[in-house]
Formats: sequence, C-alpha cells, structure tokens
Amino acid sequence: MLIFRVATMEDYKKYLAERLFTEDKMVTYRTLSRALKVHVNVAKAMLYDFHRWQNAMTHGKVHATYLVYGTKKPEMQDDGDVEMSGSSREGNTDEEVFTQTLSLASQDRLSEVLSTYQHVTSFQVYSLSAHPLKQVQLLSDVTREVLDYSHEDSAERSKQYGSMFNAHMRKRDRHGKRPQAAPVSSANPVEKKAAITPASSSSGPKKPTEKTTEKTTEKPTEAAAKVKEEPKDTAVKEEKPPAKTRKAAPPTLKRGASSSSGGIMSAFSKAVAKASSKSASASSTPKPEEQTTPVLSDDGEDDSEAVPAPKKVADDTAARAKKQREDELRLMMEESDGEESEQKEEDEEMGEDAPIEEAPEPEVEAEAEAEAEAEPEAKTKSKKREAEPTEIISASGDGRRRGRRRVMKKKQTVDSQGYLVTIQEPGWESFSEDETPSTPASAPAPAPAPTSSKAKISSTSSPAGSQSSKGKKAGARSQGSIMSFFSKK
Amino acid sequence: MVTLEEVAGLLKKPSDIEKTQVSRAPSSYKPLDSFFLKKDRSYKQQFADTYFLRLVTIKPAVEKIAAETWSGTVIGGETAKKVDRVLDIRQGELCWVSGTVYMDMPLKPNILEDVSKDRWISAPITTDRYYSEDGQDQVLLEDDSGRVRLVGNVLKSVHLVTGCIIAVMGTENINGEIEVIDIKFPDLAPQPQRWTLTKPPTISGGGGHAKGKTQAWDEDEEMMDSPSPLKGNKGNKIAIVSGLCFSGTDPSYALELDLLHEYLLGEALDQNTQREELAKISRLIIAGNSISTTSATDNRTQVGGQSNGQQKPPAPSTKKYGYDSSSYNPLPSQLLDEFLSELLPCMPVTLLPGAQDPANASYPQQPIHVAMFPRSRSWCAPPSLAGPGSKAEAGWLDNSTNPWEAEVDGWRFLGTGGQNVDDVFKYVESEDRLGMMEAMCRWRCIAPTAPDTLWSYPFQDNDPFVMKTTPHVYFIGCQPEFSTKVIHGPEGQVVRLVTVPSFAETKELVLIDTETLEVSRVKIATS
Repeated sequence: MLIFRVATMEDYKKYLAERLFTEDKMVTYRTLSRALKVHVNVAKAMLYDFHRWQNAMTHGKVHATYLVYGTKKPEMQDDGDVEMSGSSREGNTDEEVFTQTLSLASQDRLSEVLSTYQHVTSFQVYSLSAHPLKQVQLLSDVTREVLDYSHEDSAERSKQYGSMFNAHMRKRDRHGKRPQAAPVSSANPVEKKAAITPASSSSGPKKPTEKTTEKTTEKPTEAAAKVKEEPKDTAVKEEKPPAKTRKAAPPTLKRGASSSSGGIMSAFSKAVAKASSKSASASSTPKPEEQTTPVLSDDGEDDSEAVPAPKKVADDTAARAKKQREDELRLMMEESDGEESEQKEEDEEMGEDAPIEEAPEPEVEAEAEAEAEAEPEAKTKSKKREAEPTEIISASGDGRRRGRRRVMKKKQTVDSQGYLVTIQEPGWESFSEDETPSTPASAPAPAPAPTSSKAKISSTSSPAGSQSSKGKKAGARSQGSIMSFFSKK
Repeated sequence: MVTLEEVAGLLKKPSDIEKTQVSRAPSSYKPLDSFFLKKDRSYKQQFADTYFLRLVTIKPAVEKIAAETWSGTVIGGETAKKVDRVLDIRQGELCWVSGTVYMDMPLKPNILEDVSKDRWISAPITTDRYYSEDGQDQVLLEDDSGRVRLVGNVLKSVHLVTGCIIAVMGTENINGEIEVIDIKFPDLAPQPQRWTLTKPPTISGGGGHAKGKTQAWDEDEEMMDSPSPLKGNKGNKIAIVSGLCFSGTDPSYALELDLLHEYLLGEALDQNTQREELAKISRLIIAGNSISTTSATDNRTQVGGQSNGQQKPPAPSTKKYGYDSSSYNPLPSQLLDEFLSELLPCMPVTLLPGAQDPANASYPQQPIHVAMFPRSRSWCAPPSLAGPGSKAEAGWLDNSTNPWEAEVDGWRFLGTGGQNVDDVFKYVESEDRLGMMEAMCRWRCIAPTAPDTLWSYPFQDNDPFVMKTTPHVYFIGCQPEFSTKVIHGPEGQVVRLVTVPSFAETKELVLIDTETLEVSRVKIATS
C-alpha cells in the first residue's frame, strides 16, 4: 500500500483514484486515514468530497456506503432488520429504553434506511468502492488493513487518527527482560533497519530477525557477539543473551587433525557442547580427516559408536536447532566413519594441546581445560560424533563393560520469577552393561561390531543399508568372518 | 422520517473539519475479589458444606422477616409458632420453618442416579428444561436435620429452585407434607452507599485529572454521607456487551463487530457525536462468550443449554483420542486479542469469562489466562505473588472472574456471564429472565442452583454466591434479548437489572449512565 507522508488536500484524490480504479479495492475512512496519516474525521470528509467530485463527472462511478446514527422510529422495526423485530417488545422492560441505532447502508438503500429513522444525529460516508457493494460484510476484510498500523503509540495514534485519547491509560511495566518500552521501539521501524551495522558488538544496535537464521552459517571471521532483537509485537519473544558465537571451529579442527591427536577433538567437542548448552550458537563446518587411530580397546569399543546420538539440546530457536541438525547430518554423510578416540594418552595430550590450539577463544578453551582437568580420564569423541555420549571404559572384562559415560542431564529449577527453567547440562553417569550394548533409542547407524560371534549373527541379520557406512572400517580393523564379507556386499 | 436532504448537511468537506483530540471520560474502578479462588485450592471436600454455609448465612435474614410477618398470626384459632428444625414440626400444628429448597425433578440430572447406573461421563447431559409439565416435580424443604415435602397452591405462585433459602408457614398434614400457607424470602440484602470503596472524582466533567483510586475501607463517615452529585444530570456511560463470539468460521457479523469497535474507539460518527456521546463511554465490560469455539452455528441457539456441555463438536471424518491439536482454531482468540489491544489504549476493559470462553467450566469461572492475549496482556495487572486479594490496582484490562463484582464510578456492579440465570431458567416454566434475576436478589443468592445443577467449586469457608450486599446494577450477559427493570427493596434498595443480549445475535450494546443508572442501548445494523 502506498504511504503518503504528508497528505495535502489533493493527494487524497490521487490516492483514492488509484485505490479504487486501478487497484479496484474498497476504501473505508479508516484505511484512508491510516494510509494518508490524517484524522479519521478528515478522512470521512475526503471520502465524501471524492465521491461527490467523481460522481459529478461521471454519475455512478463511485459507490459509497454510509453510516447513519440516530434514533429510529418506534414502530418501524419490521424492515431491514428482521431478526431484531419483536425482540424489543418482548423483553418486559418497564420503561422505554432510549435506543440509538448505528446503521451501515449502501447508497442504494440509503433513503430506505433513513426513512426508518426519526432523528439522525450523525451521518457520514463509511466507504467507497468502484462497484456497488453486494456484500457489506466484505468491508470487514478491508478494515483489517488498519491492524497493520495498530502497533503505533497510542497517544500518537490518538493525535493523528483521532481515536479517543485516554489520559489515564496505564500499562504494566514489564520487569525483567524487555527494557524497551513497546511504543518507543516500534515508532520508527524504518529507522531501525537503517541503523543496522553488519558486525555489531553486544551493545551495538539491534539486528532484525531475518538475520537469525543466517547466524549459524556465518563465516568464522564474523564471529562476534550479536544481540538480536525481534520486533516488539512478536508474541513469543526469545531473549538472546549476548552470546559469544564460536566460529573458529574449522581451523581448530584441521590443526587438531594434523597433530593427529584425538584430544583436541575432544576438547573442541566439549566446548561445543558447553556452548550449545549456553544457548550460544555454535556452528561449525569442520572437515576433519578420517582418522585411523588404532583401536586400543577390544571389540566393545567399536560398539560405542553405535550408541545413539542424543539430541543436541538447549537451542533457543527451533530454526537454529534445525539448521544445526542439518549440519550434523551433513557431516555425518561426509565422513563415512569416524575416528576412534584415544584412551588416556590422548587425554593427557589434550591438556597440553588445547591451550595452544584454541588460543583465539580463551573462554571456550578455559572451559574445555577446566573440564579436562576435572575429568582427567575423559575420552571424548571428535566433532563429528560430539553428540554421542562419550565413555570411559574402566573395566571391560568378564563380558561386561563398566565405566562412565557422558550424558546430558536435565535439571529443573524455579527461577526468581516463578518460571520453571529446564537446563540440560552434561554430566557423567556410570554404567555397566553387556559388551554389545543395546541401542536404546534408535541409533543413526545401529550396527554392532562384527567381531564377536554374537555380533556377527546380528550383523548378518541386519539390513545391508545400515551396515554400509561401517563396512569399510570394520573390514580394516579386523578380518572378520566370511559371513561378514558376504553381508557387506 | 428522515430524508436524504435533511442529513446531507451533516456531510462535511475536508476543509471544514477541525482536528481536535477528544479525551475519554475517566472511570473510577475498584473490583472486589469476591469470586477469586485460591490458586492452591483443593477439590477434595464435599459440597454439603456449601449448602450448610448458605443456610447459616441467609437463615437469620429470612427468619427475621418471617418473625416480623408471622409472629402472632392466628389462623383458625391457632397461633403460628416458630420451629427451629424441619424435623421438629408436629403434625397439625401451625408453624413456620426455614430451610433450603430442594427441587425433586425427574428431568433434572441426578448424581446418585448417574452413580447407580455407572455413568461416568465428563460432560453432563444437557437438557433444556428440568421442569416437567405433568406435575411430577416436588418441592422439598431441607435443613441440617432433614427434609420435608412442601405442598400447596402458594408454591405455584412463586419461582423456586434448588438451593434458595426460604421460610414457609403451614401445617403438616397426614402424609407428612407441609401444607404451605405463606412463603417468605430473605429479600434484598443491605445496599451500600455510592462511593463506599472509592472516592468520587474531585472534578466533574470529562477532562478531570487522573484520580487516585484510593480505598475507603476504613470507617470514613463523611464518605458514606456524600450525596450523589448531579442527580438527574447525564453522566458518563458504562458500556456492557456480551457474546462477541469472535469466530474463526462465521463471518456473518464481522462487520458489526468492526462497527462496534469503531464506535467504542470513537472513530466512527461525526465530531459532535464523538465528543458528546462516544467520549462519555468510560469503560467497556465484556460479559462472557467473547470467543466462539463452536463451528456449528446451531450450537449457539441453545442459549439455555448447560454451560459446561458446549464443547467442540467432534470432527466428523477423523476420530482422534485425546486432544487433537489440529482441531484448534487460534483465530477467535487472536481476533479478540486484536480487538482488545486496539481498544485498550483509549478505554479500560473488564473481561468476564463466559460459558464458551477458555476458562474453567465450573462456577465461579476464573479469569481467562493472559496468555490468550499476547497483544493485550501488557495492559493486564501484573501477576502478583500475593494473589488476587492484594491491594494492587486493577489492571487496565481487568480479566476478571465470572461472576464479577466491582465498584464502578461509585456504584456497586454485579455481573455474570449468564450461566446462573440460564440454569435457574431450566427450573421454572416462565421465560421471564428479569423475574429470575429479581428472585435471585430476593433470595440473596446469585447462583442458587450451584452446586446442584450448575457446576461449582465446593466452597468450604464461605459461599460467595450469597449476596451479602445488594448491588446497584446487576447484569447478566449472554441472554437472548435485552431487557431492563428496576426493583426496590424494603429498606429503600434500588437495583437496576439488565439482561445483556449476545452481540453476535442481536448486535446490541448496552450503555449504563453512571449518574442516573439509566440504561440505553445501541443497535448496530448493516444492510
């Protein structure tokens, strides 16, 4: 819709002509008032003036509806409003109730409607249209356009459009998260957009929402804290804390790979897990090389791969969560099989490597380091499998594996405002299970190791598709049996 | 007869318009939290306490009236005596006794019957009427001691429903029934003066400065005596509307809703009318059924239907067990929210839930949750940990209970979403809804049929449905048609009764004058 900044006396004729004849739309006094930013009473007069002017040139070119307000004649309640007739008589009202009637009448029926009135106190043009209006209810669709302007400041609106002003109006103060008063932030949306700077600091100007989805795919160089503010009339508003987005993932990973240490991977993955739990957007497009680290543990180790990946948690927007899932999925496709994480040696390495490798991100690295120290035995997986629970196998004899594994734990707290806050944080849980751990919740690649005889049977019986991703690796690691050879083809 | 020539002069050219800002009249408002339930309420208790509480509260009033009327009455050489309990009545003795009415009606739903027949359904069977014409209905009077059947022609002259407290005079006949000679009601409760809880605005007229809503709970004597100023003068208006029924499926009255909106906003009509009439509307009260959850229009026709039974008709094609989120239509509440958020900058709104609104089904209905109003919620009162009974100022959008009681511009207003009258209506033969409202006032109970046939919270400590004070204005929303009436009490009480029609059906808005309490209405018509 066209928006005229200043409506001069003649502008409205241009606007109305365009709306009515070119766009073939209906115009009510309210839409005109909003479009031209004039008082509703002026808009009513404009409609009238335009109607008169046009019909003086060509009769019947513009059709109007009128709003009539006044008192009706007492007996004339039979025509026009059939469903109401009689109702006023029936109610055993012990006095004559003063009744005003507000009627909307098309110009064809105007005189008919007027004839039912005893006295008319107000009479105005309600709408104009290029064609006779067959269904007056269609006007309500037109009126809905006005809602687009509804977010403007009420005092301003009252002055400009002539809505009633109420000096006593009070809103409740939103304590807490939204410092911006609603009318202020919305007063000049255009200016807001102009003020966007590409890489803003946390105290910088707000970015519009459309950037939100971009955020995850931004280049690492752009990594900076960004505060996003969504438009104020968004009902469900997500507050994003000034999040440090960690974008330096690819270089880190490459270097980590070159040093051929799983430790740095684990440090990174931890950092990511931490970061994501803090609802920062940790996005990375790492391309770690396939690591062929020797498997130190026995067959059971491979099974840990089959442990399902828990869902990444604590994402603050669904969109970002989706994006992240896609990323993960893509990564998983890129590498057919992942690296086996090292045992304790790596973890010791990690302690030294992490500070060097992740120097550009002191916070992340600090966390990672802290965690690495806290869990010296932590054996974590690479970025690709960051979502999988990492495990420490402390004992794997007598057919059972015992140890600790990393899980995401849910914690619910009630915050100061009485909201229930659910935090998912990584924790450790000890486990003891059979050598071929059951995959509780549908692993992405639920393929057990084809080394033990028990696993062999299951692998042959499992569909070939699920095996394919693991086939190469399994073959490289152990000779396997002839059965597994066949099953792979 | 108005002709086009006469009104053509009312149309103006743009140059003739003076742009002035019209200011809306202020509204003094102090809601009473009579019907708020505690957040941590228990539902384990029995309903008997509610009846007991009601009897204990109202019995003294009705006994006083009975004693005044009947003491010393001699009929057939026998003097009437007061009997404390219904079981103490001796056969053949002329006496009077007070108690709770219980209507035994074959058509009335009966919980014992449901239990014995092993019917465990959540929604009650909706019958339009409990009243049966063949005279099978029986009136019983009970108190904490027992129950006795009432007979006599007098009973036919008055409306009686389950739960109202009455006193009867008569004799017990050979069948153990009381032959009723006369009936007395508690009659109207004491009525507070105007401006009991709030102070009148110091400056009269539209443009008064912001007036603090100070409470005068304490004994402020001169406040009580302050005469209502400007008697006879036209004051401001309180608009009451009900049954807006914002619908996602039925657009047949969308334009009327728009016109109502523009009328209330003060954008419609010409400048003089805006200043003289529209600016005077200082508050809007929405008395129930703001949104329409029903897609079938025929469901609306049974206004007298049991409130709780009006649920979404099940989708014909796919049957889903449990909650089917695809059947939820967010549009009605969204439209209501838009309506409110547009209106709130210029007018305070009181919102009562109704039978169809997303609030609890049982009486008293608690406020519609503000989460339903993402746009309008910033005008609501902030959630206070102290609960609704705290001294916090009411919200500009006061999403309130149903029933609702408040002091508006000094007058005590009592309003409901209509379920109480709809339910009483089923007990009696009459169509006279104002008469039922009057009867409720005289019974001193606004929901006598709760908890028998009107679902209700099992009150333990007090029965809020007992009218401890008589309001000045008593309105009922979601009624089939508009009607109004003034009733008078024995102590000079004057109550304005209004039935507010459902806007979706009648397109009517009710205006109450804040000085004279006169009622006018605005009809909106499209053609």
